[in-house]
Amino acid sequence: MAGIGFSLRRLTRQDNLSGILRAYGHAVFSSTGPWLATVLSLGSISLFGIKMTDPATLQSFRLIVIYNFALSLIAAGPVMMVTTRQIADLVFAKRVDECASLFLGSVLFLTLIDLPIIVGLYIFYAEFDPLTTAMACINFFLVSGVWIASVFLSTLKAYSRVTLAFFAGLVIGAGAALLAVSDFGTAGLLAGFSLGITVTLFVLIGELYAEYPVGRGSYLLIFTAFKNHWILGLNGFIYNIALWTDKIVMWFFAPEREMHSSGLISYPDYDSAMFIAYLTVVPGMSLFLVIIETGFFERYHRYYQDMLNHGTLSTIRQNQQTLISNLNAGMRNMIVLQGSLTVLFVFGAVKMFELAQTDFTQLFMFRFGVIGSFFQCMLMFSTVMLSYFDLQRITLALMGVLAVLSTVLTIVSINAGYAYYGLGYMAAAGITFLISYVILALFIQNLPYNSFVRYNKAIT
Amino acid sequence: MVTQIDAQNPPRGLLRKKYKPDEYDADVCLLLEGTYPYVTGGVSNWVHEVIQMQSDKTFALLCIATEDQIKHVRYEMPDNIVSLTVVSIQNIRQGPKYFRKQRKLCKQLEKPLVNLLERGSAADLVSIIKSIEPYKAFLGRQILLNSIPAWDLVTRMYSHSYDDLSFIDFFWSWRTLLNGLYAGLLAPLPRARVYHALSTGYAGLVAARAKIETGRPVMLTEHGLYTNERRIELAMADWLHDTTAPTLELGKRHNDLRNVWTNAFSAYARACYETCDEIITLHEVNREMQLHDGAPADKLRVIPNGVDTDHYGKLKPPQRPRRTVALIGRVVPIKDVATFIQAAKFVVEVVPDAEFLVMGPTEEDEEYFARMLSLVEQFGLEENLKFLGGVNLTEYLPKTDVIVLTSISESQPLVILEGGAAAIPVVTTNVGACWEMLNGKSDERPLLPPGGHVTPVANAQATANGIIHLLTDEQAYNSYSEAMQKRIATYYRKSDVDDAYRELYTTLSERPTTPFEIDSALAEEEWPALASA
Repeated sequence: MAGIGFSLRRLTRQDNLSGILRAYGHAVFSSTGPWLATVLSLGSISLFGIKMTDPATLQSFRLIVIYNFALSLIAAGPVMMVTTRQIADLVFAKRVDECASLFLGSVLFLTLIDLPIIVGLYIFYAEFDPLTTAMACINFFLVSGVWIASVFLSTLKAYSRVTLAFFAGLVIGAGAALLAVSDFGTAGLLAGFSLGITVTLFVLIGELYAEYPVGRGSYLLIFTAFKNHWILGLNGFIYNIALWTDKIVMWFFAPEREMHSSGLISYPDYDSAMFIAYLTVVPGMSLFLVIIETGFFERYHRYYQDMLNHGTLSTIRQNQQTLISNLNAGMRNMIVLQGSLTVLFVFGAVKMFELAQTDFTQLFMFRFGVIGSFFQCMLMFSTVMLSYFDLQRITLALMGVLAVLSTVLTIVSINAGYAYYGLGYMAAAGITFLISYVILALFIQNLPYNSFVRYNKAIT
Repeated sequence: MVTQIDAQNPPRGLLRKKYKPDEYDADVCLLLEGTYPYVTGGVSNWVHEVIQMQSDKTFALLCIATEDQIKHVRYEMPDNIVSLTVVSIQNIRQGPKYFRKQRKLCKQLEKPLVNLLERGSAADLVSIIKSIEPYKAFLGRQILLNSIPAWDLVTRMYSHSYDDLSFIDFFWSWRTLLNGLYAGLLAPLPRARVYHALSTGYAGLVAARAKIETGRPVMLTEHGLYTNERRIELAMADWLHDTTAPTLELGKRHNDLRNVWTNAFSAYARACYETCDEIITLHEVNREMQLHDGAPADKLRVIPNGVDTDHYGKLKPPQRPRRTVALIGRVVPIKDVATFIQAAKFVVEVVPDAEFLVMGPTEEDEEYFARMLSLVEQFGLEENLKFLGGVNLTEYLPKTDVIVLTSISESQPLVILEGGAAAIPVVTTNVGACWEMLNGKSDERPLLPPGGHVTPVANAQATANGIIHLLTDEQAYNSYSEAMQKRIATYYRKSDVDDAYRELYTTLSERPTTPFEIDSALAEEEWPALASA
């Protein structure tokens, strides 16, 4: 008769394997690890490859890798989000032995999605020699597999192992690529790179099967998962689109874009400026991880525990205050640390370019990219918090805003002129971050009302 | 044909309908909670008979029930029922998400609602009704329970007097209680000449509302005492989280979640007592409790249940050695069949050929029945004691010499009336109206002899002694038997009961519409401490 049915109970389990919902927020983050490794490996291959082969070969290689990453992430994003949630559900239902088959099912599903993309892009549209085409396709599948595998391992919070696997693959890949390039050109680079990724992938799979108990599960579970959590899937899709849209717009509309002999378009200056710019927020991302793992989660957990365990309203309000001050402190730390790094990079860009002997055509883009990445890092910080409170539709809307703003403002920046390239992305990230922060602040200000009434699934 | 109205989805315009001075939907509006026509039992049967007996009057029913109960209609409703309004207390309608004056409304509701959970009365109800009145047609749970002003309301009510309780428990209790309150206040109320509530609680709440809103006469018949039953239930409830550890502070009154519930129900009862014109109950023990709960003495009446004394009078058992003892009732723990079995054991030691029959359905509590069977076996009473299941009393009463009740709780058991009308003496536990039925009401003139023995609860020896006395002492048996029949025939005649109610309905229907005035004297009265015990 008293009707005490809070679906929020799910979020307050103590079981070890079930820190998964915590890591749910990290699915967003854990895709940075792979990104980082890729950028580094791309960078190192470019750096050493200059000495070993001609620019055209390197250019083809870079192009294919970038396209593979962009498209595989966009396709895999939804699967990653849904899978992460499904793992959390399985753990809660004590059906952990179905995770391994979920993994295979997801990989299978993603492969099915990838097929039309690959066939359309490499076989029908792009014109590469058969060997290169084959290597490109293989590389695509491998990269997709890695995204899925890393989700499973990030949910176990085996971050160090995941990173290790990546870097091992990176080193092996770079080495193999450089060995093969002289004989096989682009295909060789791709093959070596893929070898590295294969190593990474199978180390990850091995870890996965070692950590998760193997049992009977349906390979079709991924389909039910999509049906139940389609908003998350959409979220993953829009998120990745939002991250890539500025570059894609540049590829299609910037007057300085390059049409490669294969038919693939790109804008190398902009792309590399943005990738390097993104590297500058890696410290911020790690800090963000630490903040979430320690302070925020404990206080968030404590809030819901006390609420469910018959706490008084003053206790609940106190916990809310602690959460707010923790959030403020975290935000402040992020801004101070990452902000100062960002400022450093903005002002030191000239010096950096001199040292690296790069020409200054990318200078403005790089600067805008650095600031934009900072905003994006902060945006992800608030988005992860919003995800903790299960505000799926709100985060979806935010990602949508980012995607739209990024597209529109990049087009505007193209029209405005070369000096403004990258400003579109920066402005979009900044505006979206502000919106997300306001939403988050308002939500937490009214946390008791929101958790008891507004977003309480037990109340209709 | 009965018009069905669902309070959550009433026909458009019904909520805004303005009645002309002499326009009525029916003669009598019955306010029922958890009973007719969805639940079978004593009260339901009573209601069904009243409607049938008063066939010249039209009835509108307002039934408060849970979602589960309203799935099955268990009675074939007589033709003089014109409408049936179903009110679910579990959920009021959604309603719009926002309206301009919601903040003002919630502020207005705060004081009377706080009172309601402390020492509420009709004055608070008047306040609430007046605040809600202008917006009744579209208020729903979005505004009343889920809006931000509603949230402010619950937190303020909590801080006012319950701030050391578990908030989540208070929150859900508040929601459930207010859902019920608003369901009663927002449901479309049929317009009738007389309103008749069959219990306090939510039905009583609607009765008070009827008086306040329409000014028509309102009456209340209490079979069992709703507020009392809820107190017992709440005392035993395990879903109520108990508060912080007992404190050694002497001054502070220890507020408990149970208080939230008991105070609310006491407030509804008090509002009902204050507004009703006639308050009827079945027997004097209840009357005493009603007085204690604040019912004004001048409104109280006792009209017991009645039986067809002519019909049962013909079933008098013939002259013979008295050996057959019957317990007529369902085999469930509240009837305490175990004590009966134990008493049988004692009796058999003195009267070896005594026969014990349990006449009543055994399917309701299979586990209990199994235990009783094994008890019979343990005592070696298989030859003497038999379970007959449900039987036709017309067939078995003439075969019965003594009727025994060992119940832990009863109100006014029909079996005593029926058996008594058939001149069968009774041995019963002292619960409900039993003493009164065996020994006469306080105003019984001339005072008749007793009709049997009244024993303490769960005292097999005392029950056995009573039985032995009746089986062995023929003179005493005859005296008791005659007294019982005379008493029942005089005071518990069904036709007298019907006449009493017919007269009540007619008199009250003819009274003019009088707007309800809050009796300021009552408002000052000390609210009995029982409510927050």
